[in-house]
Amino acid sequence: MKLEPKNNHNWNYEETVARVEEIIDRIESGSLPLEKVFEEFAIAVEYLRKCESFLALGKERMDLLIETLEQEEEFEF
Amino acid sequence: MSSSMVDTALSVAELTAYIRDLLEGDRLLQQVLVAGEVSSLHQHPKGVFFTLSDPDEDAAIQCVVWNGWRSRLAQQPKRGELLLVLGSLRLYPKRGEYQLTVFQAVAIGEGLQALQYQQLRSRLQAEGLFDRERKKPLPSHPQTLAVVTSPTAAAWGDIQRTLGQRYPRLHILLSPATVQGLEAPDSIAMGIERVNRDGRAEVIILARGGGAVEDLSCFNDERVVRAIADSKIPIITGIGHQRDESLADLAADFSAHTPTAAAEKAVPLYSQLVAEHQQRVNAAIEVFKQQIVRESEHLEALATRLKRFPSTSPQLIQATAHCRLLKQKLIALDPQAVLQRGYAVVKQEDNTIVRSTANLVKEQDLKIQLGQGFLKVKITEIWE
Repeated sequence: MKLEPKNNHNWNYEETVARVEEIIDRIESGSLPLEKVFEEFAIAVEYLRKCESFLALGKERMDLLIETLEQEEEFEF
Repeated sequence: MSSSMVDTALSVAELTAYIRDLLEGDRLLQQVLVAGEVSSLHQHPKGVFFTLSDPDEDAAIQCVVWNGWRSRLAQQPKRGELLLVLGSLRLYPKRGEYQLTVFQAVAIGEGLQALQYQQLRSRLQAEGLFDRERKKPLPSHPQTLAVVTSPTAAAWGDIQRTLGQRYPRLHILLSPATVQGLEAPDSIAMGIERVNRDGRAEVIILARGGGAVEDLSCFNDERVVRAIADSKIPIITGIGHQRDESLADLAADFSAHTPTAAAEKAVPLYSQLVAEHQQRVNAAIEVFKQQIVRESEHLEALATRLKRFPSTSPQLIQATAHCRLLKQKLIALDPQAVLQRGYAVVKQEDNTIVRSTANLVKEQDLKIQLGQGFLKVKITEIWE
């Protein structure tokens, strides 16, 4: 498993979250060799960090948009 | 009285026969059209007897419609109605009376208007001009609207006021028309066509002037009805009357009862649109926020599980335990530990460990390793 490049257009939030969940399940089940555990753990942390920053970025953008919505020109009446 | 006078005199029968020949031989009187008001009426088993009279002059004529002809009449005679009848004059010798035998009767005056209205309505209906499928949908948010009405009438003011209150930025075009009198039908039709040629308006309001005793007949005129039906732009009528709908109303895409109601139908209430829009904005923001919160919580839960792994990963626990066990085994095997308990290792100068006295000689140098430190010794005696 390779880390996705940061500006990969195919990057997908839901897919990435699903992979993190898979990794956690695998580690929890105890089916991996130890070396693999460390490797996958590192991948999971990296994926999760990406999801978090994606979410934070999206929230920031949304807050800005909401602000513009709320600042909409004054209606007549 | 001389006998010669008696000789030249006619009998009543002869006179009657003579008059009868005159009347019944006259071509005009055998197929005469006459207009008058039905002043009295009598139903008889053989037919309807009625008197047609001239209300302005003192004149009346008896008429009869025999039962065989009654069903063919366009209009049944009714007391007080103006009627145009076609008939032939007959003389009845027994009573010395003449009477018009009626073959056809049509209404004139109000009755005629009603009849013409019915006929036109049926004809246009048959042509499909009032069909529901023909109705054009009204635009929900028109930006430009045209009003066909008289610019001097009260309706125009009502419409402007209503539109202004409901939808402030609407572009309103006025296509002036005369809505009363003989020129009204052509004027209204032209007003509608003008808006269609111009092409800017998305919807048209056709309104009556607004006076109380105005004539509505122009809105039943075929020219107006066709102009409405031919319009490419949907038309809302606001003719304003209590009685039956006019033909213009039937042909229109929507008919409102008053000019004000037509204006209300034409445009949405802007303040309500704003309120609805605001509700949608708030709902959207709420949904966004909920989604973000849900996702954040999900990620947090995953992070928590990841963070717990150093202490929960089965492999790590197992590996750590295994290492600890091995370490204890190693500790148990450490030779240093044996020395610590008081044993010592004796080595020759080439570091080979001395396990027996064989091959050793007196005065030979040996090294002794203790729990702590080394000794160099010389053999002074050997016991086998």
